[in-house]
Amino acid sequence: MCRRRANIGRVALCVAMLCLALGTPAMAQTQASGTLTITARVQSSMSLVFMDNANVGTTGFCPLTNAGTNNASLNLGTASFTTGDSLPCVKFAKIGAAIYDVSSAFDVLVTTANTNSPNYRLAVAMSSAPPANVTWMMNAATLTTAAQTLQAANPYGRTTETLHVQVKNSVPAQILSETIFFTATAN
Amino acid sequence: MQATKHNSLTKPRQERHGWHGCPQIENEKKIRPWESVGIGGVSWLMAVAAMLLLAGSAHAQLNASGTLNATLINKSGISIVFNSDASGVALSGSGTAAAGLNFGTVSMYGTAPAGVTVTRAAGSFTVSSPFDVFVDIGGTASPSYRLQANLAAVPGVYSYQIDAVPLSTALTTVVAADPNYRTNVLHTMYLTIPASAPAGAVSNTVQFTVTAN
Repeated sequence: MCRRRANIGRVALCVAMLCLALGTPAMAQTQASGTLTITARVQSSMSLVFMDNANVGTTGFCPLTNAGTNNASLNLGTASFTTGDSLPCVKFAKIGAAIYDVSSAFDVLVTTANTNSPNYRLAVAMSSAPPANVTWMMNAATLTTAAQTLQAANPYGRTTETLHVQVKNSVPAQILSETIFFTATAN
Repeated sequence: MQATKHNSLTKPRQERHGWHGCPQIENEKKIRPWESVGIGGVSWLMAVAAMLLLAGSAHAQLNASGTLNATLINKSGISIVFNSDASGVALSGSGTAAAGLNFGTVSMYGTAPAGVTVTRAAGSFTVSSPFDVFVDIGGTASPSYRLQANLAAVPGVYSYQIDAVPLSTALTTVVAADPNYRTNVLHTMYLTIPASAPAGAVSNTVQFTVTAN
């Protein structure tokens, strides 16, 4: 074969190879990739909410308003030394000859996450000093405006606490209201 | 004067260009009379050519022409970039194909950072944030794309999910046929953290693959 014909053949082959080479990546380019790096920093946390006791509605277990939250209310009704309490869920009792006690129990649910804390300390305090001859108590502890430990090492979960209000019969008629602060601290 | 007898100008075109019998190899020597014929060292043919050129310039009728053969290979291509969504956390590297989504400091009972939604369940909590995927394409008439994703590393106790699709290290289809090219498509990244997991850093990389259908 002459040189010119050989060259034409080579050129044709090169063109074909070029077409193949260009054609292959053209198809492969219909796919792309990207990366999204996800990061977070997990922090330990704990929760305290007030819950109705399982015996809610029976004597000594009044329902909470906003149960299931950390900002609930407990209505103890209207009470007097002579007539007792207006609400059947309130437990009424006389202490001695001149003091009456109204009480209701509720639950405190403390949970924790992302920590190996085995238990927690529960402290309580009241918002303001009560009138004379009025005593607010959580279980057996008399409440003051200073935080005090109610339980030093509660296991996580539900605990039942009972609020008492003790009123001497010399206390003038009035509305008695307090806000009680609960603080749970992981041990 | 063999050269003048076999001047290529007198030959048929096929012979001059070797299309018939390939005589051009011989002719290439024969058509160079200036190699064998010289007048005082200068070819008479070159002298004639110079005269013709001078005559042409005297007419001032200069014409020139040329052709430029340009070639462009238009390939099909597809790209993916991640963009911050207005309702989610701002991505680092937003607008690129290698972005970062940082949920920040999160906790089961604490306040969620801006752009992060925290959902609590029994024994775990999930943080989520929307983000946008922008897929562009050219050079092909693809009606839609397939979006797939996988985790770069084994997630351990944590769970990753895009929209309703749980992720693993295996490539998983998030959307089989999304027709929304050249627009931000909102997706949501979910990270579920067990309450039993230790506090600390969590990290993984989601590898996305987008394929034109």
